[in-house]
Amino acid sequence: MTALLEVRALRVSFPATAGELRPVDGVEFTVSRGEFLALVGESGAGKSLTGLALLRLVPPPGRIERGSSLRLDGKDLLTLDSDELRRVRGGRIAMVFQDPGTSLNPVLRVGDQIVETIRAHSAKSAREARGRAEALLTEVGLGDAEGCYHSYPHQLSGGMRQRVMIAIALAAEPQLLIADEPTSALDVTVQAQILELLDDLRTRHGMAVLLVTHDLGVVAERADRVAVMYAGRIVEEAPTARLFAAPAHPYTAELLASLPRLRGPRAPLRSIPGAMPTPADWPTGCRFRPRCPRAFSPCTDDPPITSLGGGHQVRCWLAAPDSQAAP
Amino acid sequence: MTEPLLSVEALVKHYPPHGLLKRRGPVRAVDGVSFQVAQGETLAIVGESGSGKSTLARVLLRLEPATGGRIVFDGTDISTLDRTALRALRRRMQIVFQDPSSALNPRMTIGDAIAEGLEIHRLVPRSEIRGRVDSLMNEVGLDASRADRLPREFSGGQKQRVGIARALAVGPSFLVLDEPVSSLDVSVQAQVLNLLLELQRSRGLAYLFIAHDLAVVRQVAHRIAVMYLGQIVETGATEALVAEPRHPYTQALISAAPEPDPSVRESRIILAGEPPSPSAPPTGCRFHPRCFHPARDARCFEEAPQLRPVGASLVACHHAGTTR
Amino acid sequence: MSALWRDPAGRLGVILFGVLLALAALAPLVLPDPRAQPDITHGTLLAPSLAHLLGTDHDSRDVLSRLASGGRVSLSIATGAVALSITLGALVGLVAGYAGGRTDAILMRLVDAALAIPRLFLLLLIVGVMQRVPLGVLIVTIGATGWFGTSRLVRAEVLRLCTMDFVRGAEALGAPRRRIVFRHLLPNVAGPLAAATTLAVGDVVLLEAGLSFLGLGVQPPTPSWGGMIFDAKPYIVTAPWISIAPGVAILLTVLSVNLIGEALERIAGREGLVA
Repeated sequence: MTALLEVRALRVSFPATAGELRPVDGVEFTVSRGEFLALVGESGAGKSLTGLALLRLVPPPGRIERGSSLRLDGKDLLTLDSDELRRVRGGRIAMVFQDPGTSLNPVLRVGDQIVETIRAHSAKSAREARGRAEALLTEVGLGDAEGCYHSYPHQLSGGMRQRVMIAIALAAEPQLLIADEPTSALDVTVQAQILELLDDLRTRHGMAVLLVTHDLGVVAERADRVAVMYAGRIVEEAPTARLFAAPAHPYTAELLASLPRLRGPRAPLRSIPGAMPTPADWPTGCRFRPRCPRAFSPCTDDPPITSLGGGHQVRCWLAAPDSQAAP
Repeated sequence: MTEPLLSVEALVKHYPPHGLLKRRGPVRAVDGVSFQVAQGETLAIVGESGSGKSTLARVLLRLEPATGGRIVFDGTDISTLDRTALRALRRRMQIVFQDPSSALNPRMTIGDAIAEGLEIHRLVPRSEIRGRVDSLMNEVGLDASRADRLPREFSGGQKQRVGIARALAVGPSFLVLDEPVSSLDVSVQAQVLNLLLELQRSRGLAYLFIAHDLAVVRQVAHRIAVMYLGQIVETGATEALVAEPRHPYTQALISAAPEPDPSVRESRIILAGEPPSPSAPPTGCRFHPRCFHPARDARCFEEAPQLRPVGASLVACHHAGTTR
Repeated sequence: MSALWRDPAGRLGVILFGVLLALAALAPLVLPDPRAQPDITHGTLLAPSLAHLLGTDHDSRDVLSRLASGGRVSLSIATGAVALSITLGALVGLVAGYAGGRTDAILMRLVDAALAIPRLFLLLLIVGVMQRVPLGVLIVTIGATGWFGTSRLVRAEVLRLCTMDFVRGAEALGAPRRRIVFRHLLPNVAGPLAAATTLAVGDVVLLEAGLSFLGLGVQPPTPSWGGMIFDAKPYIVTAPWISIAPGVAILLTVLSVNLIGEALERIAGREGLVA
């Protein structure tokens, strides 16, 4: 699989009363063509900001710091001028957000919103664009495509609106779809429908998907690889099966142990004491140290990234080759 | 057999139609719901949006009047209590809300918030309030020295603990928990769930646990009732219901719940169609437009099924237990 | 309050208003009596000098003293009337918002009707009919005609607050309605209400000045800023300082309260209900 998107040393900072805060602090990962990568973390870990940064949509006064590198097919996204950037947004990378209620313009018909994207990225005539829009609505599973085309967002249910968002995202045939918690606001039965749709579209269009989420269940089922974020950094990255079967970072392991499960025997839940610190309160050294059941002396320094083979990497002293820890 | 602590019979809550043209019918948020909760037990009400579960919570606590049916708490019919008796009831039945941010007055210190019930009912002399607040905070795992802080200085999980302490202050025997962990981060959910279990054990509390997440509910509930469009479609003991769901909707819910285990690969039931609106429910069995049961027939369209025993559970389906 | 000081515009407003308040409160103690007429033959319409910092007017009264005394009158009218209108507006808004239903509908229709009548005309009518208006009556009249907008504002806030679970939670704990209104709703309405209050002070200062300027508000010899401008009309070219001084005083008062009010709005917006 060839690399489509390469993210290196990504840092996003915000000015604050006592200096700068850096909610995204040195994030690195690669998305290959057609791959499904999940970026997992709790709220405040910095995963949504990471997604926004990929399209240079970080809200001011936040900014992407110098030294960060974003390459799409080898091309540096951070040095694009506004025209080129506009072509990338929607045309090469598209984004779907969490709350379909606020992502759609309430005073425009749904069809017009799709056509807007189509015509921004191609030279189609109005009629051609409309035809394509209706085809997209059918493709995302909205049965009455023509009816939907003429509807306003408030006339559609949450699940339907999210499908519309996906249709808009697909309109210019992007190579990468970033989905930021696309199903968190939806019922679980509708969530299943939407995820099935995303998978389907991925196979059909050969599109890569970057799913930003906190839901490990969704990840287990659909993702090829998972990157776990904690306090602004990726602490572990591995192929899905590997991550769930043999998590190397204590945070991943504790997180998995604290999830209630529907299948298999019922067991008491382990919980992680405390809460993830905000950027203003990050401890020095390993940021998980105060909550980690296996913290030991080197953890007061920043842990190195160790590769465990098979595409499995972890940022933890326990895995570092010459540390004195028992595995 | 001991009397159940709470017994709900044919509870109905309708909202009149809105708007000038009154084109839609009344919103039947809760449409004939019956169940019981025993002392010290947890009954979970599971449903998606539009199921009526949040309305049920409010009506149970008499925050809104019921349109019909009866609620019997500890032997007393509370559906028709007067003001003073209702006040006394408030000490025995309490509620914890979903969103910890909106559940606390942003201008009130958490110590005052926790003490509010004590003040309203004059349960302890003024001098002892602080001590009682401290012990409640310790009980829910909060640092008592922070009682003078405002809610915004606390995390979501901590605020939810404050909400629990506030409800416990008046010494209830029954707690309605309306999606108590849905707004919390994953690693904090387990903390609060474990706390709730511990409190149930130490105080002998009964819970009505309202949620949409079956996996969460499995951890804490003895029995589960599944709601769809204002009605209960299946109810039974937790493990039995999760292992062998009888109603097609329950089966779909379980199937749709993502499992954090990639080695579990089962065929997914993907429900067709959209969740319907409570103001225009389908005729007959309300689930029939989305139902995938092989024996679905005209009877499902015409006749609303009643809850009847199938195996160890109660199921409202004409065909449950017949074909598999 | 500390947040107000930190806001640069708010700080300016507070300082400015503080200076004006000090002038009005303390000045009569140090400056010559405004009613004293030092020298009728030689002292009229004197330009500003060291003896009379803002000159003298046509009755050879010291302008600065008159300004200060006039300030006391104008500001006390403003604070009195605003206190009344804010209290009325908050009460009506709280009741209408929390009670809902028929009470709400009746109250709000009353407010709609009252808002349909232009305030100035209403005041002119009342004041014009009464000829000589005692100060207290003036305050009550202005206050009683100024609460309508506030009640709408408060009601809207209350409606929003009632969707929050903490109100439901207080009810579930058995809190009586009075407690919910005063312990839960009012403190959370205080933010926007404070902003509205300060802006209203500016409004009333202008209103009173306008009325006095038309000869209908505060009657001579009681000084007031509007009255001073009224008196200074014939001398506007020959002795402009007599009208400029009160004019600038009004300007600075309204400016300072507006700065404070806007700063409070900003602060309320930030800290009001933080997730």
